[in-house]
Amino acid sequence: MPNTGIMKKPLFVFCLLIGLAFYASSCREVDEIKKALDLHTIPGAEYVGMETCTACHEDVVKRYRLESHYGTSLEEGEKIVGEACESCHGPGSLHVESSGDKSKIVRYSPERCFACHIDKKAQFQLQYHHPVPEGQMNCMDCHDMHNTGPATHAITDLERSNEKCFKCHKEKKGPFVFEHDPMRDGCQVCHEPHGGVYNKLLVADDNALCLRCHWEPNTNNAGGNIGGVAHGAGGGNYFIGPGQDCVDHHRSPHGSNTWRTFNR
Amino acid sequence: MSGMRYSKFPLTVLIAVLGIVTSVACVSADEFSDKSSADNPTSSINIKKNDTSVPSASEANDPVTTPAGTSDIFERYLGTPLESFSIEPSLTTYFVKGDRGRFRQDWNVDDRTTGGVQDIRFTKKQGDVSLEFEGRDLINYDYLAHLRVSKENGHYFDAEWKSFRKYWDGSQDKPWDPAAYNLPAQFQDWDDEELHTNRGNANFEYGYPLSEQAKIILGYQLWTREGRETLLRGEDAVRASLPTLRSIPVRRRVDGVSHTVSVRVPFTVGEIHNIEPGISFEAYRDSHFTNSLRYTNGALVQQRDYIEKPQFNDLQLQLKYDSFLSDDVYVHGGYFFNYLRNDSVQSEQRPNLANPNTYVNPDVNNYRVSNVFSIGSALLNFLRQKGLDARLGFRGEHATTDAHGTLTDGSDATTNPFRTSDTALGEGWFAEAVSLTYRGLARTTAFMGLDMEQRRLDWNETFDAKSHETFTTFGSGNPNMGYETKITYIDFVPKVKLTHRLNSAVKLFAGYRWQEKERQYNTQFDTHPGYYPGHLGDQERRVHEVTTSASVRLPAGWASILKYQMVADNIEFPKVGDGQQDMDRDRFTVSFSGPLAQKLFVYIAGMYDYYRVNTPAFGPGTSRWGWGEGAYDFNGDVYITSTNLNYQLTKNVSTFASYQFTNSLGDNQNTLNEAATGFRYNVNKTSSFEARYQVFKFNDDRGVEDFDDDYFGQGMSFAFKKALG
Repeated sequence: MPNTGIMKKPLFVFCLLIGLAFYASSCREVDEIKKALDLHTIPGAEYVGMETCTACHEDVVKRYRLESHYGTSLEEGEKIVGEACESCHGPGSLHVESSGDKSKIVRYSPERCFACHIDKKAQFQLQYHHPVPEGQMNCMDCHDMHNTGPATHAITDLERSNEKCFKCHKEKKGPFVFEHDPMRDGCQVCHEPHGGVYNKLLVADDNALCLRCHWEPNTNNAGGNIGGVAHGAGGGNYFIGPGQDCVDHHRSPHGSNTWRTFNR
Repeated sequence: MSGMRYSKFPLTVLIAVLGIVTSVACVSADEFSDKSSADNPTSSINIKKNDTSVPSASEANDPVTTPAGTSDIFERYLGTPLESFSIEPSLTTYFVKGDRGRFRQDWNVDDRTTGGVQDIRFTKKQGDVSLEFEGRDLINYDYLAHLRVSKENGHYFDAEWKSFRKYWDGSQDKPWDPAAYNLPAQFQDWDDEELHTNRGNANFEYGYPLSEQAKIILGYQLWTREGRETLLRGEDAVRASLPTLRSIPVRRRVDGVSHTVSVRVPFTVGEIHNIEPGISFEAYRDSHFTNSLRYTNGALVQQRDYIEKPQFNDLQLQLKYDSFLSDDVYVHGGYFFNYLRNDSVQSEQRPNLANPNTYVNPDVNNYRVSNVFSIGSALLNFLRQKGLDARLGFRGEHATTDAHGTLTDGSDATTNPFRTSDTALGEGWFAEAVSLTYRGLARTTAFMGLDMEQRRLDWNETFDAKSHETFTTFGSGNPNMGYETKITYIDFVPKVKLTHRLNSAVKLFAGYRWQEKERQYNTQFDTHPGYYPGHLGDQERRVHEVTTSASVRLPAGWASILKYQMVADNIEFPKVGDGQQDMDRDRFTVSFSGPLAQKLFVYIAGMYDYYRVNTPAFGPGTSRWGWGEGAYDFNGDVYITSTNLNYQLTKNVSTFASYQFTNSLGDNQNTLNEAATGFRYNVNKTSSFEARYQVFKFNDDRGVEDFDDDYFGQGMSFAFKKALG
């Protein structure tokens, strides 16, 4: 599609604005600007320390001691501030002074998590992603920061790991007459939940993804056998290549009640 | 069962609630002027999230500009002043040219004028009762209402409803020229104006104290999904002398609903033993209609309609226990029982064509019974070493799956009676986790852990191969196939992590995880050993992951985070040859932020992802048109750069500009340029106005000029934010 003039004028305005911004930068308000830009700051609040939080949130703090985020700290100058709770929730003095006013403490936002997990932020900027930046989902839909989760339980949690995905993707839950065994290893064998460059958040295009496991030494023969069936050129309806991807025929990769080979 | 009617009712409720809530906003700023403001009056517009404005109860009250008489409304509904209140009406419009469906899919937003209330929230406290509300009401289509009322040390009620829309591109990202295949142009982006699904969730929870040590929690969850979506699979477009394309995406109409009710009764015994029995039951009912069309030389040659009714009932019983036996000893455990029954029905029809078969799957009766037990402990200050924590955990599960399916071929019920398929799976899972964390060294956290898993899956299936539409007996002539194997899984995952803060300016992290996963097949019986999964067999997967990062505070107010991740993921099949399958990822992420000049703040971020999947397979022909390299490998390389500039023009006016470039270097071959600029005006301590203008251009570089997914356009967004309290 040709690039029309519509792009040229906004681009000019954009460059002009940046130029003006550089030109006009002469005042001494750097710290104020930075604070204003920091969405996680409570203006006028100071760090109070985790012991203060314990006074009201004893149970949360006690369990938080078990979490992998415990020990996260912020430093300002040579002083460690915001250890544990306040490293995510910001300075808490105003929250304390107002007897726990929730508007006076930093609460969850994806940007708060992205401040450290910048790679996850980049993934969510890719074309295929769960709608976390749009505010329609949040990190806590899948991750639990407060309760005794990953650090303590991990693979010993009562529920299987896929249950988090099945909360929304219910039709994949089964059980099916013919199950796809990798489902037991977790959805992330095939999907990247944070974001990726391929449709349906797959970790590779659907041919390469399937061929990671489903290949045989004679795939390159004329018949291109896979699973005892010719999938190569001349393989009739079974061939992969021009006009066919694996999923076009194996239409139910999560499991099937009809076909052993997930054809529907 | 229709999910739509469940979605509409909460919308009415939301609008009514917003009407009340926005009335509250009319309380004048003076009433709150003596309160300190904790909310930063500056607002952040996410231009992607805004939708259409339509007249609503909230707008009728004009919350910001017409305070007269609103105190009465405020008191009538809420009694006393709020602790805090903010509202952010917004209006957004997009002008998109090119593939609008791709734009909607990638940006998660409609490409028209949208708007409403981007954000509204308040908190209120009256005596020992607290009330919190947050909401969003963006017409077409993003709604949220979350209300929580709680009494200190008493009962609480939490209600949340949200609904949003997922858009789909009509071409399913495949560029092609329908005219060359003698098909109308609309097949390029086939009817994608209304190609979306509406997702809805409503969660209600009520907690009531039974005593000082016990309470009961009642829950109800509603899940809905309704609309049309595009599937990954495609259908053929064939034209003599041209390559066959699978460019006609398959569509599905979905209409599903799920209801879950739950009861939990957490209580404490002896002040330290927390016990929580709970029960939940979920009923999921869905309806899928999938339409699949295949064309040759412009003529319909095959039509398949898949009619599915996915459904299950899921009963879960849980008993959880945890306790700090002392300040340093934490123990936890639990029992989980799950009965999951799936009664999905499926049929396939081929109407009005040469082979008008109807395959019906009228009787699916699958159930799984799982019993899970877990126990673990965390020993803080282990061995009296301050800062040394040890964790142990164990999980055991036994699951039995019994699945039975019956299929009929409607074309000839006499000679093709019921064909049955049966599967019985017996599973034993055991998992152990052990780890040590040491925080005894100054500014250092060291972690060392080992996860292990052992599983045994006894797999026994029998099926009548004549139930298969395309049936082969591989020369045996026996349609009754059977397969029985015992699969042993052994997972061994050690990991180490080290975090150290060198000084107040530099924090370093390094981590390594090794996954060793083995699958051993001990096949007992196989009617056709050459048939799937005969040759797959034993498998070994080795994954090495290295992660390093540095968080650096630079001079003059600058800060930077650098992160590098390396993943080498290899799968080997000793039965057929080793070392031919691997996936490699190297991901670099970096951010810089700080004052570029005294009034100019900049945030720069970037990611480069080298990502390759190397399969051992090679393409069978030379005319493969689609994605991937010739050898059926996958190149997912991508990089992103983004720059955000903020400039404080005056005390009350700041401007901002941002630019983002995303380049999918690999098989996807596309680029996205986005640039935005705008300003923010702080009207006073409690109000701000923000305007934003954005241009963007998406180039799909996979060839097929004029038929690819290119789009470009502009967006404008306006938001006013009022914060009180």
